[in-house]
Amino acid sequence: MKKSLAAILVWIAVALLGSAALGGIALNRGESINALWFITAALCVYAIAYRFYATWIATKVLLIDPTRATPAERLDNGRDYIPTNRWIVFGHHFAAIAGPGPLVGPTLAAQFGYLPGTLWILFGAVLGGCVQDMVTLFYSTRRNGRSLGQMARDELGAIGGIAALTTTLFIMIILIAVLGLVVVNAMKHSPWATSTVAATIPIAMLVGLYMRTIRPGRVLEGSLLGVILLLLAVAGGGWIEHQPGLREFFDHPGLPLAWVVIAYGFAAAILPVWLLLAPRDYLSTYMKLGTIILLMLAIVWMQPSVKMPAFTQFVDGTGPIFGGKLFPFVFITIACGAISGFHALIASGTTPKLLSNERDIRMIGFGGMALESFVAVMAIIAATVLDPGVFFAINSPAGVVGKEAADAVAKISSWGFPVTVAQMNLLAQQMGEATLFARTGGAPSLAVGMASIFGSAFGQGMLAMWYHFAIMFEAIFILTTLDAGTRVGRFMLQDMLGNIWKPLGRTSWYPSVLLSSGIIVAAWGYFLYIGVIDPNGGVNILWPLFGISNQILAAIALCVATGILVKSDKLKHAWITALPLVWLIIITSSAAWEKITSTDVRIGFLAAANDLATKLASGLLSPEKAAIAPQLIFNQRLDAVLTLFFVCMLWLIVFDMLRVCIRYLNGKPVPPLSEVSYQLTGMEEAWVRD
Amino acid sequence: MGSGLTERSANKSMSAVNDSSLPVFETAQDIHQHIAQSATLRTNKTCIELLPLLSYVWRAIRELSGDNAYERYIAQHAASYPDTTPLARKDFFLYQQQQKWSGIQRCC
Repeated sequence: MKKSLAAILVWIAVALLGSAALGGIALNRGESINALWFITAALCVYAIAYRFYATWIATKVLLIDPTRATPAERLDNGRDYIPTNRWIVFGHHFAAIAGPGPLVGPTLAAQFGYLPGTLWILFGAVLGGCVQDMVTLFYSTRRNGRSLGQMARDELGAIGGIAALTTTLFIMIILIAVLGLVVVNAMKHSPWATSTVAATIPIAMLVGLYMRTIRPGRVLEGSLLGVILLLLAVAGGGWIEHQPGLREFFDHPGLPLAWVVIAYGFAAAILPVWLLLAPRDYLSTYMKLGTIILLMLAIVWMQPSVKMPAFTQFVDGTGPIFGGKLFPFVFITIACGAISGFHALIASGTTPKLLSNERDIRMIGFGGMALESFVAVMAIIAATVLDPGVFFAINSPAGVVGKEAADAVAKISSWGFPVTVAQMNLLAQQMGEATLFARTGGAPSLAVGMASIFGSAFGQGMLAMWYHFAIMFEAIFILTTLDAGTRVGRFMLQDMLGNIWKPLGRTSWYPSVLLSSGIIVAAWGYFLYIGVIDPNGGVNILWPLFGISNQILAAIALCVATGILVKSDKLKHAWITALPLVWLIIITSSAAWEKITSTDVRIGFLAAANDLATKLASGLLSPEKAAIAPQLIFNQRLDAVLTLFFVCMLWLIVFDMLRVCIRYLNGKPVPPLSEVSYQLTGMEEAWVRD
Repeated sequence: MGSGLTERSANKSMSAVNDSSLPVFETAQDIHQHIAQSATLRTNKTCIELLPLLSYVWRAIRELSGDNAYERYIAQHAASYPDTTPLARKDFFLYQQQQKWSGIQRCC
């Protein structure tokens, strides 16, 4: 009794603290605000949601049953089905879901001010993303770890399955292209960044050889070796930067770098995994976890001030980083960190095959996403601690603010965010870069933000080192996602092609490997190429497209979950997934509508294509712009078609889900629940818990 | 494994006590009494208590990184299929990586 009273008091205190912090962030209109308030608000929101909402969903809606044997226990084979300690599963799950998305999206969305992004990250995560991950993990666990696509087919029908599969393939292509663009923009004319990123490839191969031949399977030894070499590579890049004759070798504009990334992507897809992909993934996982912990410590210790206002005037849709109003574009710009459909693929992949007890689903599904959301909060802090003028100077494409530094600072200052050429030059010099103007894509500004936080915590003298460490850290796991995504895309394509001609479906048949890898690389390579030649930077086109497709994948996952809830006679609780689903349908449909029909050339794909076509026809373009105009026009039209395709897929599966639900409620036959029947767990409580 | 380590370190610290110029203890009770009084030995005691924690952390790191995957596989194999030969370490490692990267493993 006493204990429960104490617990009640503690939770009331958490709620009060959280509301105070949120209120402080929301109502602050002063000069600046301490970043610690963001951390406090976030932790309180996650704690309350986890303790009450997640527990309620687990015990009252999903009816999680700790006595039920999990697939890992029933099918234990020591290879892919392995009952595993929940902290270990949590680590694997988090490493899999946390990629570059929660770092890039919030950085771009900071153009609206700090408040919209922060609120969406917090509430989108606890009401949408965490619920999606947890429910998908639960349903997949109850189905022997079946994938989202298989569950869609089993529970809704063939249409649902096909929609899930094709959307996944397309989103993968867009995702890889946009991530490739982020890396290319970070390396553009930066010998330091380029040489460091280039060095990660032989380092990974060395580690791969070490783990395969020299000391087979000694993952920790190999990783330690790799991490040391990576840090040396960052320092070595600084040395190359100052070597005339050598630095030119790594000093390239965007287009050649894009070709290198494309060629690299193809090579990585056909090389054996042990040589490049697997070892680099080990390195990127340690770098990712280490850097995130370091960033959190530095923020808590230094308590930097957030200088960006709560809202900027760009909520009206005139923002320089990407066009479009606050609604719906903040919600699709920040996908990962709030709700990300991609997570449903992870939650229905490896993770359910490792769970030793259903009880762990709350912590791994809900908790894992809450932690990823926290990474997004830190990214928004890193973006908003910069002077807003500096933030916009780094992130605004030359096509919007002008190619000349003087024009850019004049334009940005005229928006009310003062910045000078001298200030930008000094900053570039401190960071060891030639220029920081128009370094779009989010990675450079995040790196500047991280370097300034780390620099103030651990010494200003190392700014350039921190900057390039941050670039290397982003590049290394972007490249991992790029390789892994290309491979998965290849497998999915081979699976589809196998239906046309059997041998094409054989994943080890070399001609098929080359063909399908080539198709996937060509697909994302095309978008990467167009993004690089686009004078507006490409990110402003590709990122919204990625956001829309990722949110639509989330909507598909929520459709599957809602359908299962209704079919399990839980109609009265179906709102836990239906509510975020409705919100996703609203934001993706309205964003898609605007991207297709808007007459504003910075928002509408077709408007931009037509505008460019008119200018081309009337000879208004300079010769160099006229040369690329036909490609840009075609690309904008293609993007419009793709957007339409995504929305059609969404509505198709929504109607399919509604059809199944209505039939079920009217007592008509529907595909039966594919849940595996109950089996009592034979595992002793202490076995995995030790 | 954890308890083994504790015992070993406990023995070590006891011999350290014997080697030093400290009074020689006749019974275990004497030692406990002395530990209760001596600040240096109290630190030693904390060290002894820390060791299981460190070994736990080390095991967690190995498990999380997959460093002990082969040992786990061997243990599982011995329990479930005692009549067949398990894969060699290198083959298991390659198989495992191939398996892992055939599905969606990394996200945006």
